[in-house]
Amino acid sequence: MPSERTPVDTTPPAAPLAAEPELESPLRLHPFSLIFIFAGLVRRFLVPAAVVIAASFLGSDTRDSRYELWAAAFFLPAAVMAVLRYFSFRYRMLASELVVSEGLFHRTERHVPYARIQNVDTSQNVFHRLLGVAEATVETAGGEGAEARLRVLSNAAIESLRARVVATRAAAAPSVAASDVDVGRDRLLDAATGRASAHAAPPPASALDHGGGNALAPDSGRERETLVRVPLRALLFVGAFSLRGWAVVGMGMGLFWQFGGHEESRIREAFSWIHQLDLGHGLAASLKIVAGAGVFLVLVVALSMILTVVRFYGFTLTRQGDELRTHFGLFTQRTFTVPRHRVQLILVEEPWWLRMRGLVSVQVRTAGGDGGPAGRSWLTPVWPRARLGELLARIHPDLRAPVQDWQSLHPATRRRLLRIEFVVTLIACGALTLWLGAWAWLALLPLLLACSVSTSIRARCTHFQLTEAILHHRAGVLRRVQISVPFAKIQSIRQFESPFDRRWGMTGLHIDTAGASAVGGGVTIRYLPRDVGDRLRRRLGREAARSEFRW
Amino acid sequence: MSDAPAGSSPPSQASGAGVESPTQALDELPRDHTLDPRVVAYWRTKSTLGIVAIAIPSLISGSVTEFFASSLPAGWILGALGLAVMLALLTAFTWPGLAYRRTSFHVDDDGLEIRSGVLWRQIHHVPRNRVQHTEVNQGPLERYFGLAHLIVHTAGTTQAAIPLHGLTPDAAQNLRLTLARRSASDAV
Repeated sequence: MPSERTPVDTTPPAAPLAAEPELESPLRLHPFSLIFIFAGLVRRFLVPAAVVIAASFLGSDTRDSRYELWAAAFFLPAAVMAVLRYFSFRYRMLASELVVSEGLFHRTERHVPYARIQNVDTSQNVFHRLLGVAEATVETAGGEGAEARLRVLSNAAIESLRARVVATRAAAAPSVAASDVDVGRDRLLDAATGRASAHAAPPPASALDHGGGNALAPDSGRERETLVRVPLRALLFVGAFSLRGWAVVGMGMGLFWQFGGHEESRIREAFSWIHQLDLGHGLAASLKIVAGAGVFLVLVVALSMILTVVRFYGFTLTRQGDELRTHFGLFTQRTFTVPRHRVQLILVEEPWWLRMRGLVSVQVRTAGGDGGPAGRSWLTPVWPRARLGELLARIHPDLRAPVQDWQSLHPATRRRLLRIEFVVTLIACGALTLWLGAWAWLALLPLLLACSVSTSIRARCTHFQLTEAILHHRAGVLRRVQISVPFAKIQSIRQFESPFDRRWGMTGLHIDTAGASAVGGGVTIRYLPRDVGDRLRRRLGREAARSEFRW
Repeated sequence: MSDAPAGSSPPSQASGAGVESPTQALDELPRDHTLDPRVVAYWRTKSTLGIVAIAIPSLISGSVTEFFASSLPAGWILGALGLAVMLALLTAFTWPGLAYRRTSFHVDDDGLEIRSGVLWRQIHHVPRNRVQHTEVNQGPLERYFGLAHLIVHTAGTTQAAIPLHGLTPDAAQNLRLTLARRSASDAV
């Protein structure tokens, strides 16, 4: 495991405005791009062909995949096109926008104003790192993929692009920076234990100027402060409960079914060793089966842990002025940049395994891109709940204080949920009767008890509250999720009432925000008392109208 | 639909302080609007056309099935289909009146609010400065009835486009301009 953990770009960015004239001239991608273009083409065309040829030499049946050989014939034209495209690609960093022009016959020129850029993400695999280059992705709030992909640029070029974007953003959005007053002390926080003192660095000399300062000034000259550093053992803990290993197992099964065993006999053949195992009888056999299942479980969990560590090794969240940046990865290192004022909503997730240890995970949603790669939305995969306010205060100043006096739903919510589940249980028991006969009704009492307990917990665990500039919603029992939406990010409010809602005197609200996915935006609060829902709708509408929305 | 300040909001903000948008736009439109009554006839025609478009092929295929291959007693399939069509037509005739009575909208300093729905009711609120853009559309049938519809676009996800049907073209343009003016006053 490499011990190198520093982000790609620890060097403070050069003063962006001074370097302007030379940057305005058209720039090419880094010449090493050609290497990676060729590598990509080889992987796409030549490797499948080689696999097919090798497989046919080994005598296995490849009638279905002959067409992959033909794919190799397209390698040369594709390579020529790729090289020509590389030479036709230009980008310019003007004072207020990034201009990307590309295309051989059909030339397109894309103007991306810095003020519209949501994220600048970079990804560096091992070879990129060896050569000192990275892939950069620039996203605006389109939602339909990236606005510009620059693969590959030198680290210095990426840094100057980032500095440009951040400088424009900081100037465009003084409001967040201005209200961020006293949280600027440089500290290293240990995400697993929250023992800040153990790692605390002495506050740097620049610490004091976070207080007053000119909020309008771009923060690019400031020290980058590390907010979160996730230690390896915390990652291992998160990985143990993640589903990555299970996903790989599922994928393996899928591949086997796809290619390995069209016929039943093959499946039987593949699993024939199970029949040949001499398990013995009685207790010994069941013990062996349990032990086998245990070994399988341990292996999958270990795989999950390894995959999690590979992806998130050395996770750090840093902040420089208005710019939040996460950096992680063992082999391929990724850097994600989110300006604070682009955060549409903040999610604090507490699955039971984290809650057991007094931990939470924190994510943010932005309007840029379409989901993006795994982990992009994470501010930290693990964080002590006791220090949550401290971290959130750096994201949004009004999140500093913990939410108090959570409001509950309609007092009849539990009864309503119970009635729904009661009906469902009756129907289920009725259906079971067809199969099990009258015995099915034995299950009725325990099921109803379970419903009663679960509805009461669920109704009691759902809350909401408004603080000065933020709507909070908390729900979930095993996986508790708290969503916080700043009023300034509310796009529209929909109050809805079904006939059932009306009978119970209830109402529901959906608060829509901008987001990357078509399903992901906003918060829904159901089972509100009618008058509370009305008031909430009016209040949120008024607050939203009063605040300015910036992407 | 009174615009009484919400009980939970601080009283100092209740009177609209800090809202810099021109208020003369308020007087151009009365506070509460219903749709143009012609929308009832429009909705009836539209649903009837839709039902006919589905009913004719299904009645034809139903009679063919009945004639050649049905084990059911004679007239069952056609009877059931006919009943379904009659019910659909009845709904198509009565529902628009209810929907018309349940739909209203108003514009004020906070934004646009649309109430709609007969059984499943909803109130859509679009804050005035969250309007990204608006469009006024008119289909052929709407043109025949002298109607148009307005679509208000926000930057949201599930509610990114909020339609308002049953306006006269003038009212739609007027509303569009009002919303545009309001959002322009808060332009970044």
